[in-house]
Amino acid sequence: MLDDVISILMNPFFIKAFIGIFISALVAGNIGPILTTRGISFLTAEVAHAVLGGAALGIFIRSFILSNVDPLIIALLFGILSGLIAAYLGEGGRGRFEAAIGMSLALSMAIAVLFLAIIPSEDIPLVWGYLLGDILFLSLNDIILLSTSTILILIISLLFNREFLYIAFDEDGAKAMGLNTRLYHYISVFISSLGIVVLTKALGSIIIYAILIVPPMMASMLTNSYTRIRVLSFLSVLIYGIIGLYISFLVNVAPSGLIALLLVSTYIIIRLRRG
Amino acid sequence: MDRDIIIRGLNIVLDGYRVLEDVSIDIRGNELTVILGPNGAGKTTLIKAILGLVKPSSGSIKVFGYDPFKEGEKIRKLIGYLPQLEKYSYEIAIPSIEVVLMGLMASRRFPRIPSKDDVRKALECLGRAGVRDIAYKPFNELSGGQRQRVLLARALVKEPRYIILDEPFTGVDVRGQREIIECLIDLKDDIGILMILHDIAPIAEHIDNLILLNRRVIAWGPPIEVLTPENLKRAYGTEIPIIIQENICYPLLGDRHA
Repeated sequence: MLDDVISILMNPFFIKAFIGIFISALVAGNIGPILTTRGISFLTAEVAHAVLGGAALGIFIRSFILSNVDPLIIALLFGILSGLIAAYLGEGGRGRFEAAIGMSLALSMAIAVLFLAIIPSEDIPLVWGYLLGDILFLSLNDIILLSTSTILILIISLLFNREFLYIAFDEDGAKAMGLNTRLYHYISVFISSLGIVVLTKALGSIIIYAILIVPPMMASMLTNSYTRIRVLSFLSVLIYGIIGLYISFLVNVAPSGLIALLLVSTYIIIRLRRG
Repeated sequence: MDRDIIIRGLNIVLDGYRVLEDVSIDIRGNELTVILGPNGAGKTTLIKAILGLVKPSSGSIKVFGYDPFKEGEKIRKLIGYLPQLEKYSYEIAIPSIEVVLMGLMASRRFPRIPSKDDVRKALECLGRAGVRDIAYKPFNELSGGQRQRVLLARALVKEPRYIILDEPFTGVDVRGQREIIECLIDLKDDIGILMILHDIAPIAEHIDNLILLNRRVIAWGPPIEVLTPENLKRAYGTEIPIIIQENICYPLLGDRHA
């Protein structure tokens, strides 16, 4: 029994996946609370879909234009760009925002479908990898790129912690007092989009909502301190991530699905028990 | 310093809808001015225009001689602003003192790290607003009256010449309202106050100037002159009963059920 556990833990796939989970937990712990407290959680779906389109575009570029381009970089840039465009279009007001999100979601998927038809058929699974995530198959390059993005997210969210708090608490007031709320809004959208791309690569676009939104919602039932919400979100993604990963090695199921299932069912149980 | 805010022929169109039409008023400093009017009268839009948060479609606004939309930074140092209580997020716990420090930090340059002196100043302003004892309590756990006074401290910490309050009594019980009014009356000697109200009763005796607004300025001046049955009918589109007591006018604007 113990030997089995150790052999799973020492498995190189598991070790790389563990790094992926750790990165995901750091990202989710920082980005999730920003998205939920600012009421911009729809960015999640928007950027996650853009990543699919971006990945297909990236593979197209690698196959036909520049053979040394990493499709992940194209997916990353595409995701960030779509997040920033959504934020820009959203400045006109709530209704315009939702219409804009709907359109750019459709546009991203249309781009994905278009390039899926053009790219070499053996590369198609690479795009679908973004649906369920590549946590077990992260390359060294992927890990370097994801870690660098994560460090950038951590630095920015620590540096502008106070500013993000201000615009989440009272955007009108902050603006009236002279804070450049627009700038910090865009910075928060930028790191959120970057984080969503990282999570899409690692765990897939399908479960990203569960990873980003459920932990801060669970945490906010226990505490309303911003710092504690972030720490608890980090811990819950980390712990559930490791459990999900471990079970996936035993029963051969995609880990991201298990992690989402565990997170959402815990949330439902807590809600039911609280009435 | 006679006339701090001068508005001439102000029109504001938002999303194709004319929110304010040909508004011309003067607001003096060191007075308590109230903007009164029905829902959708453009009251919040008017103060947002004064603060430079909304762009005028035509007409002019001068606040302390500056154009708020073009020279917003200068005005923001001079005016403290308290948005409506419902505009804040209560999902996150922020200690009251951190809310007050926001008043100093928001206009500073990055990195915004409060000094010991900033903290001392913030505590002093909480004291002036009478809520020094709740400095380290989370804002979202306070009563409406306490929240409003913490926000008042946040406005005071910048040492403004003017304070603008949007519906400061909404969601505040009678005792809380009294506490806010006491604070404001103490401040009035040094600082001009402009507030939006939908019912003036709590503070009627202290109002120097009243602006009756319904997209247009119906009337403005001392309350006793403005609050005539005709003006009120023009503003609200229906007869509003008025009680006059010791030369103070109380229009009965609350929900009236037979």
